Amino acid sequence: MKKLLILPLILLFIACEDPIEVNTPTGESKINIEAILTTLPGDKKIKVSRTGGFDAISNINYLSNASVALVKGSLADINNLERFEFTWDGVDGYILDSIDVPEFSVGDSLGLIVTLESSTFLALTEIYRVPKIDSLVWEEEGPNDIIFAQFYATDFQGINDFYYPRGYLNGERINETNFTTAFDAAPGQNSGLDGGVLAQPIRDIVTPPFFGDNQDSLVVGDTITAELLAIDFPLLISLNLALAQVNNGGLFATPTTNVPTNIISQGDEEAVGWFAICNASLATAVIDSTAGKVEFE
Amino acid sequence: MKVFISLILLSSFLFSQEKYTISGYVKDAETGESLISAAVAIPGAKTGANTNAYGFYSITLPEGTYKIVTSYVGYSKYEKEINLNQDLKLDIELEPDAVLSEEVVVTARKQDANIKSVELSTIELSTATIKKIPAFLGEVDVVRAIQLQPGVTTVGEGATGFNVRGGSIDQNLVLLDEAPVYNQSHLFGFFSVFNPDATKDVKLYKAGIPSVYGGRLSSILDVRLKEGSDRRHQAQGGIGTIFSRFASEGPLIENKLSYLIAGRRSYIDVLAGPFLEDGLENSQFYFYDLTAKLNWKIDDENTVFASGFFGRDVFGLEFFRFDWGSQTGTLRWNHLFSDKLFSNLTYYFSNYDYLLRFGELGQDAFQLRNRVQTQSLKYDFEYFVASKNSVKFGVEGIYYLFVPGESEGASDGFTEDVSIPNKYGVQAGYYIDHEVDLFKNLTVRYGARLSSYHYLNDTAYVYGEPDGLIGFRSVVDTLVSDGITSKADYFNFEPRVALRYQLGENNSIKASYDRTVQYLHLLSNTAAATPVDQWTTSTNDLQPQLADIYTIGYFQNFYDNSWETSVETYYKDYQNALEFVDGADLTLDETVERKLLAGIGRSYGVELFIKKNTGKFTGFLSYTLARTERQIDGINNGEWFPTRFDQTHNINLSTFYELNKKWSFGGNFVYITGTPVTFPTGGYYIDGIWVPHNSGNQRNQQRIGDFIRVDISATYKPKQDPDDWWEGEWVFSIYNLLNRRNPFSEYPQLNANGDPQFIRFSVIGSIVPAVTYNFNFDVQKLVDGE
Repeated sequence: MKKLLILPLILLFIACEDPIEVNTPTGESKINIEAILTTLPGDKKIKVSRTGGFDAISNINYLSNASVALVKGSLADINNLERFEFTWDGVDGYILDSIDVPEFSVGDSLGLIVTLESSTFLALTEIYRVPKIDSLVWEEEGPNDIIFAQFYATDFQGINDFYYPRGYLNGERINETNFTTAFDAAPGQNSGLDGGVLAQPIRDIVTPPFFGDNQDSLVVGDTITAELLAIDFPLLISLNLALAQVNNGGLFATPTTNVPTNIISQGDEEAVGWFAICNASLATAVIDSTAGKVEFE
Repeated sequence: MKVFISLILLSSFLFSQEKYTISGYVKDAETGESLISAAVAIPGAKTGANTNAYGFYSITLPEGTYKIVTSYVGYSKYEKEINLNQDLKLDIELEPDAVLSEEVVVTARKQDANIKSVELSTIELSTATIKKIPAFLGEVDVVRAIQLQPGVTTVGEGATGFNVRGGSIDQNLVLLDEAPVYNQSHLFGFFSVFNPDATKDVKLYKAGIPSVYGGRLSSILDVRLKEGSDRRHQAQGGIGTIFSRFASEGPLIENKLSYLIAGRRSYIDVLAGPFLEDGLENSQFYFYDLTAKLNWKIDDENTVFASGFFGRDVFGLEFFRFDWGSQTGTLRWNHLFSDKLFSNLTYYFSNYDYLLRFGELGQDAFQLRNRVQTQSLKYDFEYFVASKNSVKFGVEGIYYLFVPGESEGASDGFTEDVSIPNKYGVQAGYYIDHEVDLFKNLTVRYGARLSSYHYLNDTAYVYGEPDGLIGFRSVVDTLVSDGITSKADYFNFEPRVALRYQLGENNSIKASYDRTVQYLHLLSNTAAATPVDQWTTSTNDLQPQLADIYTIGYFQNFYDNSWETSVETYYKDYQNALEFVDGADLTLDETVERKLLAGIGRSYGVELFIKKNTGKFTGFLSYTLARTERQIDGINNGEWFPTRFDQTHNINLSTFYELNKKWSFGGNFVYITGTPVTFPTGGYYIDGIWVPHNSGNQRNQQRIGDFIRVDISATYKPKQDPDDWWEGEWVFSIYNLLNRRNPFSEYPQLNANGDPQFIRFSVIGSIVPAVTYNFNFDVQKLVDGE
């Protein structure tokens, strides 16, 4: 009887998703430079690879024969740039040891130079201001009493601050494809809520999504970490476009489009990827009960 | 203009032997409802006329005795001998055909209208026709019936709107009693807002668009509501799987003042309510609409109509609400200045708005309301110069209000108004159309529309070149004024010509040219349009869209017009076709033009159509071969690419079989080539996110799977006594009989193991059976029975 009565509901929501085989078109491989770094202490790692075919996700061709260097200083005085060389780590990337990492200040301009065989790839970035994370807060919510955690931070007064939040659960990145970037304190591409506490869902980055296949939830004893990265507007657009690609689907699907890159190729070979050194705030807390709050100075 | 007047006067002179005029209205004898496009013929004089949108006709003839014959499919033929020695007022009432159930109605028009009328690329559907087509969940629907016609497509099952000959959905001007309806969808696109119980006539112009219409590039869908019977109180409705409907009409003052009121509401939420748990207890998901009309016949020269529509869709959870809806109101005054000069003065109001809300207001929330509002005053005239010689002219003024974002955001208890300024526009149109039989076999309708548009605001922006990284343009100058002034003025001349040359009694060739202009744009960067897309104005930066439409067709009827065939081919050129910078978020941006791209477009195709009008077995078969493309700097490396609604082959077969007076059956077959899509050539990581990548940066070079659907229906009408006050019928239908999961879209996604895979999204993934009970009852018979 119950099924009979909700028949209209079943009929209405008869939409379905099926995996299919598609003959994807072939295209030329490009150089991918994964170089979104932060100012937080520690080694800096950059990966250089060739884009693979559609199904080559687990078999990425990391390139070990590149020369990778960070340059710092005024581009107006290009001959006096400080140069910091990365070295191949023997696995999948190039490392700049933490002791060699220069100090970064708001307003610094930095460049990346990657040389690979006869091609050179360049990219520029700048250090922007980032607010500190004020607190990590969690409590049980919803009908299933799931622990829901948030980080709190307050945007600076004045428009045109852009942020990229990253969350970690017990040291592992969470929400790679479910974060929300911030334009000042608001989600989206347009300013609003300038100078306020970062709005939801930006703050939710430290809670694993509990919909779909992912049913992980926070439990007492977990360690949660929030990172808040200050980025520029093109990176905000690119991250949003990347999210749109991997979360695409349904009635509201958007056309598949390429994510922009700030890597400039000076040879014949084209590049994708992004270089940025993002000023970042960090906050970590251990969930010691079903509700709690840790404030940071 | 001088040329125009000279031609009209010349044609008037050529045909000015006539002395007297017969004029009046053609109506349904039972209900008093006026009949649109009814043929009033004077066989002896080999002349005649069709009634206009209000059922009025006027024929001028020399003095003499004539037989007047009036026919309308589904009604008994009317014949009367008249002695014309003075101007004659003759209202004609047609009796519904007693053998209607056997001589099935498939067209509302006279059966040879496709040969004799100058109109081409025009589809006219009566409610009776629409009701015979097997429908999704058994609910007949105007827009879904239109989507089965040649040259009309949709990007997928359940998508909002429809595409006409390669045009985007915003290029259709959809009118409900002359008021534009900006979004015609309930439940995203499964049903349209037009209640079939309140709808009298539906006409779609794909080309050969009369000059009275303007403002959209690709088509006009003119939906006319019933007036409401001025003779009998009656009601009708239906109880369906998903919603129920009820309509009532009747005289408030007999033969003077009548009303019609019709409503629908879905009830999934009511049925499902007791079973919702886990925080979904207070979920809302429903839609409703209300259509009403008053018709006041003041005297023989004056009639006033007031009509309105109000509809809304609501989806809501505890901390989420999404609703959208349209409201329209139309006030019209028909006035006869003389038996040759008919006029109609119209005021209409139209509003479309949606609301999106996330979170808890005042605490952590975001709310956005978007609105487009239109008010218009127009005055239309129709002057019947002579027999088969008429002129239509008029003037129209439209005021637009665009509310792109009444919005507020709240974070941690702090609320801020983040609304962006409104935009305004004023549009004016002047038009004239002259239709005349120039020679025995040649009919021509020629005319023009002069339109102007003025973008009004206190601030406007000037933009520079696109940013090299993300493609957005930046503001390089701001134009500010004290108060609201015009920031951009556009003037366009829109010539329209249609020709018909009759080759023989049963065949004709027709051609048309239309220049159309569109000052409004729908901003939609999703693969299919949605209710949250926003309408915006042409500005100093965003130019009006223009189209030139060339059409030619051959029409041939067989077996006394019981079979109609046609082949039409068309070519459309677009200027200022609109696209969007990749990744552009179009909401809440005062400078949204910086994210828009403009270019050129073209659509071309050929449509074959075969229709059987009479007999127990009726139906139509159509085939369309088409292509629609855009060329826009910044997309597909600046090369031509097919649009998302480019569908190479489109086959529709719709059949109806009347077994006996109790049982009838219907069937649809639909085949559509899969729509274009961009598939990646590979992928890479950006900060841990795997993203697909197309190395050639190409757009829409692959296609999703083909669409094939079969629907069937059976209608059972229990035996009925003619004196019964109640009539009912059961409709059993199966939609998607082949149980195909037709693709709506295909896209890459990561599976649970983190590996990329392609996903096919199907809106309907199974067969959809449904049962509907339709009824109507005659209140008068009920009262008399007591």
